[in-house]
Amino acid sequence: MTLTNLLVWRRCRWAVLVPLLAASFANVASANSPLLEGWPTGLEGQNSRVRTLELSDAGAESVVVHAAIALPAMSDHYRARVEILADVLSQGSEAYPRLTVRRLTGALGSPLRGFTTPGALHLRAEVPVEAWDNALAVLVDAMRRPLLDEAAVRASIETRTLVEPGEWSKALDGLRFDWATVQPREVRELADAILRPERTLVVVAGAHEPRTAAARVAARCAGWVGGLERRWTFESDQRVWFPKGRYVDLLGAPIDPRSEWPVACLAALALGAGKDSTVFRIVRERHAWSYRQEAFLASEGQRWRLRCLVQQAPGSEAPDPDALRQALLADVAAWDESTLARAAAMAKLAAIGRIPSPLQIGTRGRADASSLSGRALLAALWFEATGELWEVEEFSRRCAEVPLAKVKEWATTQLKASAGRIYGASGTPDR
Amino acid sequence: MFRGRRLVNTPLIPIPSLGVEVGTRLKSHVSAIASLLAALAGAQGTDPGAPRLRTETEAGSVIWVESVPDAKEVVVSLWASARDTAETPTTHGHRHLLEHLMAQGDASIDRRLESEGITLTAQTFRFAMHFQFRCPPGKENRAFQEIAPWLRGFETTAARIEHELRIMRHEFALRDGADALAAAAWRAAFGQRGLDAWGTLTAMAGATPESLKSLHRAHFAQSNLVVAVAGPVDLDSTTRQAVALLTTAPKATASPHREALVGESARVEDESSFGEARSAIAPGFARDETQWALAAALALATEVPRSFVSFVPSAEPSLVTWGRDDQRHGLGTVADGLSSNDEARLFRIGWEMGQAWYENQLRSPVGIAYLRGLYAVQSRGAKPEDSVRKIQAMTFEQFKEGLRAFGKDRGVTVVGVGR
Repeated sequence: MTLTNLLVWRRCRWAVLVPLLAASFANVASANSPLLEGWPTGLEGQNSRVRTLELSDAGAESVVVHAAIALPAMSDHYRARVEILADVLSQGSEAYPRLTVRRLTGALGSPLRGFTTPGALHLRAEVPVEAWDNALAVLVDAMRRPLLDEAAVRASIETRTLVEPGEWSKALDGLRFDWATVQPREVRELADAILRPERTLVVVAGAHEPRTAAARVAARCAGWVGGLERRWTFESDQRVWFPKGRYVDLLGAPIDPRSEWPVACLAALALGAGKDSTVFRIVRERHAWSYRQEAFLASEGQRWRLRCLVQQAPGSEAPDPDALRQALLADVAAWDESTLARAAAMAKLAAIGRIPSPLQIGTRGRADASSLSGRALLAALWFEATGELWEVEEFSRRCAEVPLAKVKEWATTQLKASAGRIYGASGTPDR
Repeated sequence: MFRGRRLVNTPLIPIPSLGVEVGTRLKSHVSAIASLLAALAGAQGTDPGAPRLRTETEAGSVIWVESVPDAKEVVVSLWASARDTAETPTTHGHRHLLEHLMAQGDASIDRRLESEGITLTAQTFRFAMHFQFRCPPGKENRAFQEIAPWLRGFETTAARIEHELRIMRHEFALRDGADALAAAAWRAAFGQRGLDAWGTLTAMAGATPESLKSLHRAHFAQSNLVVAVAGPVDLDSTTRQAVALLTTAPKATASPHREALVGESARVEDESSFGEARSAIAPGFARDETQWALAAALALATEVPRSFVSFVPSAEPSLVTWGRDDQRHGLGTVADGLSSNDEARLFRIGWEMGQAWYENQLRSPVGIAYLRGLYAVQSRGAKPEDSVRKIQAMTFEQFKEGLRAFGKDRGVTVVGVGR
């Protein structure tokens, strides 16, 4: 299969953090069978289509087991249900009750927990090396046979109604879900339909024995059959949070990371990484428009957008989006080789986790390679978006190869095409 | 040669690694003696094989250099103690403002550094100011070069102050929730002595170029300075460079006498924040109770998703804060309703996480330079390993004492009712 060949070929070049990937299809012969659209996979003798990424890091002192489940396109109405599902998936499964989950995955204080990113539902635990296979069993059972106990679902809903996101989270994604309308039945239906082997990418990262993860994942997932596919288009009215500050927001057009990631990453780093970045120098230091201002690539699952977001004190009156855009464009026009050299240096730092990557994942902040769990998440997101493996040297090298003219052209095009808006304290209520 | 008096730190090096890891690596006799002492002491280490050297100059500056041969970066931390520059309500925030202006340097400092893969960050704490350079190996000299003009003196203009205050107005208006909760707890526990490092815009507006110059001179006097370096560096040559750097700073004046902080239990509703927090009053990093409270907070945080622990090791009494800034319910139910089974389960978690909190930092150059500098700037001989040992020796009863320090009758409860 193309995927497998690509990954095996790339593996030869990995050096420091030897990531091994096995595109693990437990039953390869039947995995090549065409899918019957609208029917559950797992029929026709397939017993697992879970893919496995293995990041082997002998220097680590733990292992992260991480499952990323790609979400189907769905309306915001269902996103609320996914959030609840993420909360309760770690609350016990048929084979592992809640306290057993805590006992088998909680030794390092990072027990099995669920969370979402744009386009995916994640389950993750970080455990001592010797405990990783047990943790994997718990993780897989949570996806295959979750209890989704009604009391746990109701407790999650009740808790969510009390939660108010932070100021910056409100600015990034202001949706205010109507938790009270979520029914436990809906969460169970959602789980049946989206927890499917072919949507699942398992990442095993850390100091486990190399080249063992794919086989263990395949064994744990053997016989896993997903439920019925369905459409998730029901719309309901969604409210929004209003942040306290004033926000000026420029949002670029969607891009395809598979073809554009090197130039997009380098441009985002030139615009937003470090204190000599364009937004820091121009927005903060020159104009004193803000204390916090960021430029990044907003992940929307398999597509990204350039976004520049400026946070201001309530009552601020300038700039409007066009003034912000013009200020940034003027600086981009003046970028020279020293700008490019600095951005390339930032790319190297992002690759090794010294600074956050340019990839923003919803309200969770930037994808960040500084920790083992961060690398596992980044590996999953990067693979799903670009079709490539996140690899330190490769990321730096590909960024460094982008010529100045191309970076300037890309950033200019994106900024000119960006949609501008103001919201928050003194902005319009329209998000 | 430098004129400073070299002191030998007792490094925590397990015996088995001495001959292989350290003995072949060290070039300095002093360092070798340090290793020998460690071997004789038979101390258990958190960072096996790491030779380190602590040097104190005649003027009272401290230099910590720690070799981490396999590290991919060198971290240079400059710490300046605030023992001579305690703030009052009328000067509240002048140190924060000074930090902003110093970090700007000339207009091109960030371009110079970042192009070479070096990042510079700055922080103001209640007890010190901290500048951190993270450098590729071999480029630590660049950090020393950029620090040098900061130590020689400080100049600014009224226009620059005014411009910076315009930026800080945005910073103050949208302060992070966890930070605001912790600050409210400090005010409740310590009153006026619990002034945070942020300050107020009103007080900062009273700063002048002259007052900041004077503040800088007192803050960056030699006796207040610590340089901590960690990474693949040579101990002797790096120490020599640091000593030469620090001797260019101004001499100290007499430190004013300060009364010891005394914290009090309290419950407050705070309109500047949102969420809730429970804080334990910790008597300082030299006392066992502080480490019990830290272990308890870390264990409690695993019980409540999205909760945070805020703690900066401090020689003086301080707070260990456990909170959440996304809702204002739930912590009290957990903290005040633990069963004996819960306590027993949490003990193991707290015991491990408390040690890991320090040890994980002491594995990386950035954590080493941070923690060693942070301890030394407050108490010259203090070491984070002493805190680790206190947690290692913690009994179940002591851990329960740590948990009780977060109780509503012992600790500080903050309910953030803002937004």
